[in-house]
Amino acid sequence: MNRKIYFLKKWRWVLLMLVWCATMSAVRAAQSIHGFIRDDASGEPIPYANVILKGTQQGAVSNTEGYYVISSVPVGQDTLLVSIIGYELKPTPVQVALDDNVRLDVRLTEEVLAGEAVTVTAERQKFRELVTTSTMTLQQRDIEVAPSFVEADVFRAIQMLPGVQAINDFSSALYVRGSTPDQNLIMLDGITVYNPSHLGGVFSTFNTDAIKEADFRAGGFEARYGGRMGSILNIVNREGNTEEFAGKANISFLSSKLLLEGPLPGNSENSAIKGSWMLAGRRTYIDAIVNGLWQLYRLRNRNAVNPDGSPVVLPAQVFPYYFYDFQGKLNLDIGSKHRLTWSSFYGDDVFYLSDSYENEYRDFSSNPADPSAGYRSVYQDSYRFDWQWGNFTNSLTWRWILSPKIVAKTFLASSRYRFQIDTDLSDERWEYEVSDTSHYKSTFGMDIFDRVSDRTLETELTWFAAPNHTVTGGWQFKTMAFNLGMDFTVGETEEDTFYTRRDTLLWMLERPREQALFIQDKWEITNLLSAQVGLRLSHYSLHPGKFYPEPRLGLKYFLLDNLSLKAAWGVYNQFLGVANPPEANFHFIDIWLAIPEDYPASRSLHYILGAEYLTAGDILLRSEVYYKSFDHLLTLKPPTNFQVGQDVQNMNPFNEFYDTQARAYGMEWLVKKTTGKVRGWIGYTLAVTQRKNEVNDWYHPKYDRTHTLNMVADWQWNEEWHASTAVTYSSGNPYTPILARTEDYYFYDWGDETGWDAYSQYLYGDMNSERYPGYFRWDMSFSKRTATKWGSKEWFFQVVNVTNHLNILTYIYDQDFDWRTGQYKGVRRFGVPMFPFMPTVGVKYEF
Amino acid sequence: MNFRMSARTVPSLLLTFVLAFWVSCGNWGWEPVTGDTDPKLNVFGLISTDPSIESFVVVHRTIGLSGPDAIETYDTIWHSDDSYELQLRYESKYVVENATVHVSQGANSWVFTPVTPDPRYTWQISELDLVYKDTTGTFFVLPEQTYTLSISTPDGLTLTGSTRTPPDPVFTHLDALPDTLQLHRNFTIRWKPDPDHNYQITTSGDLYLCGGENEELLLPGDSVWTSQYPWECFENEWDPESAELSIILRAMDENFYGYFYQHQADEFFSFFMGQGGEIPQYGVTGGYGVFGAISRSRITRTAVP
Repeated sequence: MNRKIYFLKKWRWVLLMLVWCATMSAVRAAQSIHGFIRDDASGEPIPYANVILKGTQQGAVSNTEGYYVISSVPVGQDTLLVSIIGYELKPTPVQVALDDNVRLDVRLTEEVLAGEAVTVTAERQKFRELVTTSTMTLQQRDIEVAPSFVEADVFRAIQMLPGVQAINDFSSALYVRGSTPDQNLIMLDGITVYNPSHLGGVFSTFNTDAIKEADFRAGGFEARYGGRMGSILNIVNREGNTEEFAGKANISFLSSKLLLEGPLPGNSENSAIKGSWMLAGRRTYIDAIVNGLWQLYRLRNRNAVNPDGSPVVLPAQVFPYYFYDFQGKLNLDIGSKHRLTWSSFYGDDVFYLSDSYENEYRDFSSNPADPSAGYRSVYQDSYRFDWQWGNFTNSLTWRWILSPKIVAKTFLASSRYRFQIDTDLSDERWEYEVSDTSHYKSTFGMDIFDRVSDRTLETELTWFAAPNHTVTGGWQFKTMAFNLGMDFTVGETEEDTFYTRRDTLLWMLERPREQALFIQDKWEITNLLSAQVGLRLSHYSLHPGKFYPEPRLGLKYFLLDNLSLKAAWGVYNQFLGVANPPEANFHFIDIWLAIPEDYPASRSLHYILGAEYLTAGDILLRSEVYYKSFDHLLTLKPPTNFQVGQDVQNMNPFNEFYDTQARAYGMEWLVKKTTGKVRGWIGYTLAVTQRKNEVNDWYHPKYDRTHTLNMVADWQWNEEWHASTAVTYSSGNPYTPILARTEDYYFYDWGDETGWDAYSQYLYGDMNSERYPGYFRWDMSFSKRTATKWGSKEWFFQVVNVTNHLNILTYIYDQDFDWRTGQYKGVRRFGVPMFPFMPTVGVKYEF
Repeated sequence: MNFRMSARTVPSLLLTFVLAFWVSCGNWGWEPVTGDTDPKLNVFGLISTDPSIESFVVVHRTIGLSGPDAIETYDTIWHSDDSYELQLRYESKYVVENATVHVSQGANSWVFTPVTPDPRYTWQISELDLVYKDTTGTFFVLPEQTYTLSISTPDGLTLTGSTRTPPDPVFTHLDALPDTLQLHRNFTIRWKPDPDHNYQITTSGDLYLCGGENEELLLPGDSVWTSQYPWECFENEWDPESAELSIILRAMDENFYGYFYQHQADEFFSFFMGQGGEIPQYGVTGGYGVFGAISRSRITRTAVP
């Protein structure tokens, strides 16, 4: 087929949409006012600001980028009023001529009330505007006051929202309405991040200092989001201060953080190119402190000897782990219509251990007078264990205001996640004798790797078609590579020659592509009824010839001015997943896999009903019920054989799956207060999640918590003192109980000799048929902020698990052994605790 | 803060703390686990076509979680001077000594009776070693036949099982395998492929050979195996000039393979991935364990360094 015709056929919908937007926009051309609402001090965009023409009903609300459009504006002199709680009301005069499209950027100044911290909230505008259900935006301050472990963490804050479950204290992974963490689309400035955690999930990847806000959708999300079935979390980084150079430093028990931001050189009101930058970094340093002290200890004991006279060998280091990450962002405004944004993240966890030992043995006993007649051997052992895992993302976004009513965004991004375990062992021996010298060397190396690479090209058009229609459409193209492997290298000296042999035990490489077209319309049908209608059409290259339609629908109806009903329904497909079982307590590594050719795409249906009520004091009350079904989830089958030396095609332990179904339903309540001296939220979740596959009938997965009550409160006592607290009470997680003692048999067949043996074992009950005791945790935090001549300083003190409640991670079973009789007395268990009572202190500097 | 505020606030705070600590009661330490589910039989029955491995059935049971796993009992020990003493010993609660065990093949049925190993050949005998065997000398196992198992105990526990013996492995191309093998060079073993059964190959020497019992699990349908020993295999203190090398090919039915290979891999996987255990039942119903069958063929060669 002619390439040109093929291209036109393939992308005809995109072209048609572009032409349609432009035509419609031209047809409806009339006077309009458009622009951006920004913070006067920092230049950050202000979303959900209310923009109206004074004395009229005409107005708009700024979107997440601070952009607004008021169309069909009357000709003449007018005044634009921009308002949002926390900023001073800003009346701006505006002159509109016939067929004129006026660009009017407005900068708002924070409203400072004596004795109170600034509170910016757009709860009322969001209540009016948002059609989608289950949406919550956390500002940086919400994240900082929510419970944390040692330092503020966006995932820990989200875990406190209704509908979100945590599997244990050690994991910041998000289990959202029955979905596992791999079903969450986690994005940093729109870039997919595959492994958004440090230290096996204890900390999230994102440095809270750099975060502006976290936009979270627990379900029923719009057509522009795809590729995941569970939830959407878009972390939006700060754009950087456009007005002045500023910074923030934070020193805690765990890590040090630094954030710097400022305007680009030459920034001025009239320059054609202007912009801002932001750079943030973080590194843990317990390794440096502990290993530094250890080196001092080694130095002091360098001549120590064992009772037998041999030297004491002390390892080179004792704490081999640290993590670090960097985030950067650069904004460049070219004229009034174009903006380029570059955003990047680099973060790694490093577990590195290496050491070498040397020993010498001499024996001159045969002739002590003649050293050359003796025997001498030298041994040298060394090992190196290098385990690194982390993400590296880059994105370039081009925003182009084609016309006041059409904004185009093109997005080019790459995201790389990799873990790599590289191990080397070496053993070398020299033997010197009178007549002979020999050398022997053996080495062993192991390389385990999983690399996921994701390159994305997206283009999206937002068309403010009419005051009651906002249409968004676009195309997304993603090419991915999943490269998983395991190599061994064995080296040995044979007959004075050193040989090495390399075996590939496992190697899987998939390069799938995902494409999607989407279109959605946010339609205010009447003053009381709004709809968000969308369709997404996805294609997955490993399922050629098959298209996955994903309709999405959201409805909102105002029963009263401050009471609305909401509903959402949608179809969601996913073409990848992690091989880690959902039952695992820790996710040190995530083994991402593409859905194989012969396996259907995972699919979920969401049904959500909800009601929202906003009090006069801006307290939001929300209740939602949901039902989600899941089909074709990946559950890895246990590997059958796992021996070195067999053919690679027989050794793939990651390509056999149980076809798994799941269902989740529940009810959630939220009361959220965003203004005043005391702020926070109370959330209650009633949730049921079940899974089923060919091995287990319907069972509750380990992350299923039936009842969860969360309370987060933040009290700004005065300008200096601040306190926050968080309380969680929930049902225990399920576990598989033991029912009885039994034995496993062992059979040995050594050719001429065979036999059997039996060893003690437990008989397990039905999968996850019992639950741990209820979970309770109360965290508290106090901080004192003092002004300094260069900025401010804030000391903080926090306590995790104030009441030292025993929250059980898992049980360890043991048989109490009677040393007198040599028999076992009975079974006992030990509840491995999650976080105990744990106080920490730290200090933050801001300049 | 004035007095009135304190009077209101302090009791509330105290009450909050008391409630929180009450909620926080927990047992930080070991605790006994109780639970006595109905016992079931847990057996290991092996039917072997190779006369050098006697067929047998091990009959054990599950026991509850609390209490010791053995019962105190006494043996009467007689001395030559007609005196005696009572010696304390512990009898495992797992072992079932009084079961009725039937193994059948077609219309034929054999009663297996409890036997303990011959003390002349066994250094230490435990009651755990008690197995049920045919003592009539009439139980000859045939390949590719179905054998059934039936067990009952006086206290009402029952278990049945079924297994089908695999065909005897057949070595092929034996003429291509020299009588004397240089072990540090590759040697190749071939056999008739069998797509329905898993095989295991084992090589072992009559003298010490490094790598001693060299064994490998093979996949159904495999028909060739190439191996070698490290060159210094004969470098030991005896420094032998040659050794007799046995090459044994073992075929397994799906029950035997399932229990000893798949189930044990599952156990490892479950432990690693945190999925918890599962109840092993391979070829048995009414209880746990395995009723499996194997067949073996053997050839020998002379091994030289």
